[in-house]
Amino acid sequence: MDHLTTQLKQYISSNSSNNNIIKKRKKALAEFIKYGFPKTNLENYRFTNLSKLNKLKFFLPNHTIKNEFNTKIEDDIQFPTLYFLNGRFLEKLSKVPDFISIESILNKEENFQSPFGVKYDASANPFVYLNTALINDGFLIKITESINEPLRIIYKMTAGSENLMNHPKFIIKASKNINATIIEEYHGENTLYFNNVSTDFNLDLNSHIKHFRIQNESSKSYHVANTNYNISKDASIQSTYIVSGSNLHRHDINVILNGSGSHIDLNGLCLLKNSQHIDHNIIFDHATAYVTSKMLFKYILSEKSTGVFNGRALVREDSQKIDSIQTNNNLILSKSAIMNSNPQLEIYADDVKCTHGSTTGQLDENALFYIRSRGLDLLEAKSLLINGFANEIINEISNKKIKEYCTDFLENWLGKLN
Amino acid sequence: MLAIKNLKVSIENKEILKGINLNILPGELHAIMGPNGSGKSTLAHVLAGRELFKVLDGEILFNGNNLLELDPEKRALNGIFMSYQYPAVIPGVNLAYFLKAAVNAVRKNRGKKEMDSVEFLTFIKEKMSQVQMDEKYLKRSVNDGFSGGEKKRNEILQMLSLDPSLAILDETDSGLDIDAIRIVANGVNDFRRSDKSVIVITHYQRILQYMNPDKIHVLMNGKIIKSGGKELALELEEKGYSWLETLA
Repeated sequence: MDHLTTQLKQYISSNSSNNNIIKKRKKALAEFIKYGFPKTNLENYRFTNLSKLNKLKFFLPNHTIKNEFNTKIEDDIQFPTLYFLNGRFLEKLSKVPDFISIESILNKEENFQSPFGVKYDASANPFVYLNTALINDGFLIKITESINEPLRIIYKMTAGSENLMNHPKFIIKASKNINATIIEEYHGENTLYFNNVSTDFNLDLNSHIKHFRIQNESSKSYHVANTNYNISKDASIQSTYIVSGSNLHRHDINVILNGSGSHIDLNGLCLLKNSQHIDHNIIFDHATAYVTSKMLFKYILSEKSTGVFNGRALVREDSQKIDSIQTNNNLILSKSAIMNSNPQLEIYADDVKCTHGSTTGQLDENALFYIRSRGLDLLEAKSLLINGFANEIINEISNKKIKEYCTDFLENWLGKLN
Repeated sequence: MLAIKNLKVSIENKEILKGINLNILPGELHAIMGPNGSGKSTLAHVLAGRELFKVLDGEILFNGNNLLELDPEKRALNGIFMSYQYPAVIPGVNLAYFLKAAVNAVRKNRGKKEMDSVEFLTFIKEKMSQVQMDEKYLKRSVNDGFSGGEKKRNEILQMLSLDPSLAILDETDSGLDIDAIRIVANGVNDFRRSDKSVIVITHYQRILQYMNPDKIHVLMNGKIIKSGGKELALELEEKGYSWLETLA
């Protein structure tokens, strides 16, 4: 913990900032230190062991040192894009239309607090405080008009990012009646680093956001994330997560359905191999009546990988006429892989329609034989069934380019399976 | 075409087939009839290559080659097709994609050019009209939510598309109404040629009315206890199987 304190001190001394922000950073760090890295005796972390992460020392990137940014410019930056390399924002690779207001998060006091003024139970997720203490870059993005092309946030770590840690924060505010698509992407080359991301979505009345999140980090890295969706009346979020990177991934997702007619559709596809560990901890808070939600998470686990799914649908006392579906389906490809699935309903209202279900199984032997008896070999048969399993999520993606990307991504992942 | 000699098969240490002998010549249609649990479906699955069943003794020659050495996919590529009593569901994989992959795998093995999407679509639509199957099924997941009749039509569609030399129909008629049975039978009749053989496994004589079987075999308690011409089917329809029990 001393190490984190030193890191904050160094950051403060080499970056100008106002005193109130410094105070908030210090306070947040004190909060984090008070709870520390969560241990497995906490219900929310029962199956996720962070002791290795706790022992490692990571360093905030020193932006005063010139990094050798020789990576070739991505050939396909055609969308509006915000580009980060090794924790540093790269202006020359970033393009956004004028009507999207982009404001650095670093100098605004109000950005240094828990989202929406909601009181967080720090022991449930202290990483939010660590992020607040050590935010090293990020933006407040205000979308005031509908955008046709998706806005991409690309966060890339190269081989030169050994032992770095980043605490990026993104706040996305969608004005009334707008439609937009946001893609959050995390890519990393084969190196050890730690990213602790915080992303907040604030949707005003009748705004509709499609959110894609691609976690394709280095297989040695640690990826911790906290995503909050605050959804107003008649507004909606349609989210798809593709998670395949990192050595350890922990993602807390907090959704508040805050007005009648608000809706969230959250889909996740997790592709695990080696000894990867992927953990999603999700809360849907149906805070008012007449809101709807749908959650579908699918894990495909190979080799010695382990997965955790904690999905909780909370329906408050006055939240009548709720329609909520929560599903977690898992496909286990190896005898050594383990999945922990825990879908939960917490309902205090009486006139609601809530369903939840979880399945974990292997490839269907009958289906494998059926496919082989039509002339396709065992590998093709397996790949067909795995694709079919994943397609329930990929086929729902309406944006053609993103759908293609996800299809290729899955194919590539399958190609590397033994 | 197919020569089965003294075939003995077990599953979980229980002997199901107790010495089957069967010879099928090119162009012939044989019906295998018998009560529940007699081993009919086991025979079909063994021919298709299901590893669940253990072959204890005997041999199967397909066009003179040892069939038992081959993986299921190799058998399919070499011209064996089985229509399932309970076809598997493949969620998330649409029928067009699946059929195209299968058809092209078979074509490739026969040294033919693989079909592109446009060619395949023309090809498959024609086959679908043969079995009166709506084209909308191409976009649906394989057998997912298909009714019993649709599943069986889909099996016959696959048979016509893969164009095997030996087709084994495992109770394709069970659970079908008379119109659907006629469609299946017409599909089989369209398929028949002097170089192709068919094995129809069934409980009932019904479907055989629409076909012209060369031979009928009665399978009981793991053995073929009686063989005869198509008149045997009518006799079975009339008398049931119990009168044959003494032979089993």
